[in-house]
Amino acid sequence: MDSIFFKQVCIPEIIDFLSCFKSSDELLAERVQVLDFLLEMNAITPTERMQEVEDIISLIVIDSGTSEINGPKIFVDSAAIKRKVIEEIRGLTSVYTSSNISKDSNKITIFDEPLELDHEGERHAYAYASGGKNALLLKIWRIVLDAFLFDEKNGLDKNLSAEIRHGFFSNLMRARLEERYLITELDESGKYKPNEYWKNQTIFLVDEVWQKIEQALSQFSGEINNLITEAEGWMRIKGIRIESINGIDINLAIENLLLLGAFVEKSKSAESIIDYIIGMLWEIVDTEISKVRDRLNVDFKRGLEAAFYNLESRINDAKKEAPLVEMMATIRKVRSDIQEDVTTASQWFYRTNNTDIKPKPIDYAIKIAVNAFERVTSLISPVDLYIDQNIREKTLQPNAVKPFINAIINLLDNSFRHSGLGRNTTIQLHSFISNNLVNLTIRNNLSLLRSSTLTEEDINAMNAKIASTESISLLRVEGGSGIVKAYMNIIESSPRSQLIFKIKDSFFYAEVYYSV
Amino acid sequence: MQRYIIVFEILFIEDNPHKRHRITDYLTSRLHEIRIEEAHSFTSGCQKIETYVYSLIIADISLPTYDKHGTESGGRFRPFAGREIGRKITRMKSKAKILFITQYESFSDKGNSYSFNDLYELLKNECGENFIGMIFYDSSKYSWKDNIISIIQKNLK
Repeated sequence: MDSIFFKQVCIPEIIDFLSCFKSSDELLAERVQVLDFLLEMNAITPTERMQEVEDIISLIVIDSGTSEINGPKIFVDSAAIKRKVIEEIRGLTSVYTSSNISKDSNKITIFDEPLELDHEGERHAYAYASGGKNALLLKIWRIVLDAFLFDEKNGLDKNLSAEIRHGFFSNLMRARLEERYLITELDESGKYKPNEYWKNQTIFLVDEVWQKIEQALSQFSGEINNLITEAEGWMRIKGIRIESINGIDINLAIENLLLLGAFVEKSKSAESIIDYIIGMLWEIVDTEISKVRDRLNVDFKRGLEAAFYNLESRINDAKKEAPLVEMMATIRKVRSDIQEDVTTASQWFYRTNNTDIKPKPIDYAIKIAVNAFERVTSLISPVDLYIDQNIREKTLQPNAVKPFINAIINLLDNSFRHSGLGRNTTIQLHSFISNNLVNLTIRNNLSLLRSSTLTEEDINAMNAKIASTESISLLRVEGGSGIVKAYMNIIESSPRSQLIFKIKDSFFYAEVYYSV
Repeated sequence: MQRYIIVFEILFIEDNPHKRHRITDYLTSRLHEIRIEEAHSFTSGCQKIETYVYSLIIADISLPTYDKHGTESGGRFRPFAGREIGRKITRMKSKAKILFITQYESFSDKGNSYSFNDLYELLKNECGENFIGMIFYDSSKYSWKDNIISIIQKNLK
């Protein structure tokens, strides 16, 4: 009875109803403790326990990655922008502060090039206080603005394009619709492809009715695509280079120019002037991205609701008495779920300081592994982590990241499982570069009993085991032990790497020599 | 003679920041005798309900299990979290009133679909005297504002 309760009732999908867990981590850590208890009761095998713990760890890794992907995305590398423009601004600042330049600040010049559109999209002539100093001031502004917005590597436009516009937004918006076959793609002739899925699901319909339904689905595809295209326009920078109605509007109001002038007079330092301008720009960007959030939450959601309403109405008109239960239920389900996706996309439009969406740097992957491991174990002391500065220059190829993380998690789990000390195990992970290889050393203490029974011969046998083709083939068939899995993960991540075990002064060592 | 102002404690459980800010701002601008506390998920809402007695709970129908932050993605998404909260309140025999607010016109979970009206009736039956209404929130329209104010004023006297 107990084992059924712990096996089948104490699962995350059920116990998350209890409000005693404050986070997913606490919930999943509880499940790991339940698994340990089941193992003690011999209600599950070590393999079953390991399999579920691995699933939980994978879930955490994926969940963490998902949170990062779904979190704020707006980022401009201000330090890189500063490095790019510093020399030019330094020169202009020097000219500005020299006494030879006119202080004719009362003179008004109408610029040929309009700097912004008003809320109705009408062009207005912009008048700025002119004179030598003001012309220089505008030039300073323009240089920083141009780099901030359009620097190919670090600018805002690149960020919006790479992180949001190119695929991310439209993929997220289309995902559920495509998964449930509610929209189709355009063919070469510019017409929407026939909806074969729903045609096969509704073969009982007479041809005339199906034609009308297919027409409704095609219209729906068109309406959704138009909405997405319009929304992507809100995520473009408008003004100086690109015309985009309702796009992100970054321009200098005259009062900001006056403030900038006062600051430059006072500061005279190129670095602080750039910081000041970037600060001004972020204030404008913050206001503009809040407008994008509002448009997504209000206009885009309203547009989606209208498209779904039209679809349901057209299908109801076409189907007459036919129930089409599955199709109508699918439409209602997607109509409800897609609202959450819009909320997710709107949350991208906050500033972030972190652009490491994919864990490519090796130190980042180590931290994810340690973090994921710590979340599901109840170690009294956290893993003592030391990462050498040089490691940060090394990166993992995308396909090497997951096995690398799994290898570390398996090694940490091996330390925890077999130390004989349980939650009192202390683990150190040191990483550094040696002979152009990344060296990861995982060290853990051992209980007296474990220390006295683990001999050099055992260690040699372990090293031989992971080196043998027999254990590798066993792993492929049965899943293998934690250390063999760790080894397989390592060579999957980087084939020329090595894993060696040692024992010294009652400490167990797992040493990875990782070839990047 | 000294005058006392009765302050009604409201718990607002809503995960969408845009919707939360709009509703909170509107309520506080119109009703001066209220104090609004926020929760952003099913669990944080339940924790607050279990530790404090509120006059009114305004709950979104669909919520994540946990507050989203950092690497916490919110856990399982609960399409009927508001209904689960309503059941908890009823089982606790709490006197707190509950008002549901949603921007969906239809709801689906595990193969079951409900229209707004279906869910309204279901919640009314399940929550009994605690239930004071269910509002359709559409940020582009004004009607939700009239509805929420009239329901709250009618029930918090």
